[in-house]
Amino acid sequence: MATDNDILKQFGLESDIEIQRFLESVDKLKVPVSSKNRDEAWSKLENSIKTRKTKEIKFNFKHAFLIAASIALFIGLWFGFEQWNHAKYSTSSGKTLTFELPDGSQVILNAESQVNWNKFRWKYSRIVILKGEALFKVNKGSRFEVQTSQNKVSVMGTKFNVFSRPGYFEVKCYEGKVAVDIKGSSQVILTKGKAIKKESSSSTAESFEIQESDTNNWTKGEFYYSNASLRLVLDEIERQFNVNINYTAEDRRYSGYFKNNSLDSALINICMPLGLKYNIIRDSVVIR
Amino acid sequence: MTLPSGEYTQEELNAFKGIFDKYYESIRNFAYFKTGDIDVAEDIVQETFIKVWEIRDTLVEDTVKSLLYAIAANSIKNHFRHKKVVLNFAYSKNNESENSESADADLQQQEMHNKLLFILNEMPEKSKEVFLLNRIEKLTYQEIAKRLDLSVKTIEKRMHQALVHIRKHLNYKI
Repeated sequence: MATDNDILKQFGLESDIEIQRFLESVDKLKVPVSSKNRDEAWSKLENSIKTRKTKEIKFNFKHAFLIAASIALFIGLWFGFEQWNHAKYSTSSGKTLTFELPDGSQVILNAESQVNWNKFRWKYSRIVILKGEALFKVNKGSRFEVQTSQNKVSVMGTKFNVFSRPGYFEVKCYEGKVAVDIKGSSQVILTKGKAIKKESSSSTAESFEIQESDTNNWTKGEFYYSNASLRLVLDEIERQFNVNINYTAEDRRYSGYFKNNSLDSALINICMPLGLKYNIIRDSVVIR
Repeated sequence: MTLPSGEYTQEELNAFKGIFDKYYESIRNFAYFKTGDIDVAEDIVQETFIKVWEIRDTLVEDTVKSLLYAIAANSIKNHFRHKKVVLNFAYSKNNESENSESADADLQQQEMHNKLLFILNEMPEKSKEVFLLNRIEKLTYQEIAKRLDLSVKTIEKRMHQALVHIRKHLNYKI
């Protein structure tokens, strides 16, 4: 125990009576009596230790709940932000729609199609997501990308048509250059007048030349086909005229064209050469 | 390998009780010096020992004492982030002088006691802690240094500051 004199001597205060008296008084101070003694304190502690396990589970539940709530909130905000950030154009059956992207590029949407993009990300990369069919006239600028469910088309400034629907994918390049990434095969560069198609039933994509008569006719309401799957042609009829077609026989190949101004003449154009018969009952067509 | 903290052996508990019995009072008084409230000090003790219990696997005999002080000091910091601590040592009559002195002397002592509390409460936190550990807990500088994980030099410096503080305040008459 340090005595008064030790400490005072150390700091040269040994002759200071006042401070000596002060220290004496301090030495007499006692820590107040606690409401519990050591044994009681131990019992309490021991009790805490024994109930610790359940406490911890409760604690974790609370934490898990908070974490889950934060994640939910974050996801909610993120989706809200994404929604708010998304520009979307879509068409129903029998309609087409022409609109401009923020950079002035023109898009013509065919029936039952949809184009959307992220307004925020657009500033950094021109990416649109396409479902269905659309003709793009892209203004010159940075890379422009069309993403479909499986494939990707990227360009620098050109005019091209993308068809992406279940069963069939096709890109036609009318101006400039287009790079096409088809899932499962290497990138293909299309120059003016070139096209590429891939049917879901075949494993490889097939390049072909755009016919001179084909000047993205669908935008004028004309649909040209060359050795195309009849089912795909009938799908287009369904979209253009907003009808249901009942055709259960095996798929065939069709070459020809139809216009979207008259269902009757369109069906004649398709069925006559194939020797098929059709029946229109309100919104339904039965073909045999 | 650590067991989940809910599981423990009786030996662990016994060893832990040994630590508790040895340091309970020191930690409680230490907490009292820093909080000025004996009930809060008791809570701090509970909190401190629970935290030590949770890391019982990593305890080393040599460092357990300074660890306890460090944990207690931390808990106190969390409790009293912005509050000024007011110590309130009970006034205990001086038994030796009781029979020989008059009522006036008692009053004088009461006055002295109040003055003493005032000076203590005004003392800088770090000096006060060291000063009280030395004067009331009767710990040597070496012991204090070990408990607070500080050098003896630092303890001496703080003691000196405490005395300078007392000297300065004794000059003012109340």
